[in-house]
Amino acid sequence: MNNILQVCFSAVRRMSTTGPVESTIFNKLQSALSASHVNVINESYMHNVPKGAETHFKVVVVSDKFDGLPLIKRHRLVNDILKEELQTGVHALSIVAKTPKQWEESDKIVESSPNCKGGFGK
Amino acid sequence: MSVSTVESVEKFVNFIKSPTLTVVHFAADWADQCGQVTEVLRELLKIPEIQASKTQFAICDAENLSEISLQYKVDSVPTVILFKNGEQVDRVDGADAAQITAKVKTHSLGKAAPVNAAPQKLEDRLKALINRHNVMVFMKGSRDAPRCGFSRTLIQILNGTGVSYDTFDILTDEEVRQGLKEYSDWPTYPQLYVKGELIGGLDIIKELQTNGELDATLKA
Repeated sequence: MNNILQVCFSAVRRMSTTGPVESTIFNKLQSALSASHVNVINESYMHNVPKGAETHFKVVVVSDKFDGLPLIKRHRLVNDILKEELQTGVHALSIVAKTPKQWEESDKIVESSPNCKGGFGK
Repeated sequence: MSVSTVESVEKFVNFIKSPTLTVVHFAADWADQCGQVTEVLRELLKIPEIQASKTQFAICDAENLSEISLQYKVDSVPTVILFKNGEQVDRVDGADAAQITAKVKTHSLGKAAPVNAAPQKLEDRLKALINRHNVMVFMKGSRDAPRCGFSRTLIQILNGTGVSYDTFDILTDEEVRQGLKEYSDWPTYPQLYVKGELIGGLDIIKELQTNGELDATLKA
């Protein structure tokens, strides 16, 4: 019996290539926000998803369009730009949204997100 | 009532004979995801309508009772099968909490649901939920057993502030899970509300903490 029981769990290794979703996210953020800096990090490898998956992302966006906006509005802006991606397979999106001034003053180190631990979907 | 364990084929046959819904979780000790499914079943048991429907829940060790597993084609764990009168009426293969919740609700409330209970409008329900406590967290899992790293980190930060808060496990309620995303126009969980107003997810809470604004926000 043991050999026919299995848990759907596959180990994942980090892919070095840039996936199509990753490129789309990068392009959309850069053009919609006239961003001076965009970094899209595919963190899917940290999660219980197939190799090469594009499900978990962290984005760092620096734009003067964030000037004067509270955090929640900056995040709403980013969520809105990536609405389509969030509805079609992107399960977690971690956002760092700063103005150029804040970015210059920060240490520019972005810590990685926690593992999400489950196959439950968003 | 609690989630019982069926230890023999005989007990299993007796258990599923019931005319009311019985839910059997085929599990194995070594599979972490089975613990998550058991947790989902425990949460379902707390719902008054499901208690009233006399739905019963049990765990069956898929390897010890391999005879049953083979009969019902259980080839992976966790698998949840729903029975009525000894017949399989539905099943969910895998740790799909949303599906399990939806199917158990549908089958248990099918006939037993009170006819005249007007369903509360979803929007009213969401409003009541986000205002249930001054500081309200919608998360995956409970504060003692978060089911996602983002939710766990948020709980750790909140516990560090000493502020009192309440939580809601969105994995146990698909309607709230999908509804709140639309209602608040926020696509992910966890979500933190203060006095009914969305403050944000983990990223925002972390940034507020870094900027030293978190305490003031929570105590608004």
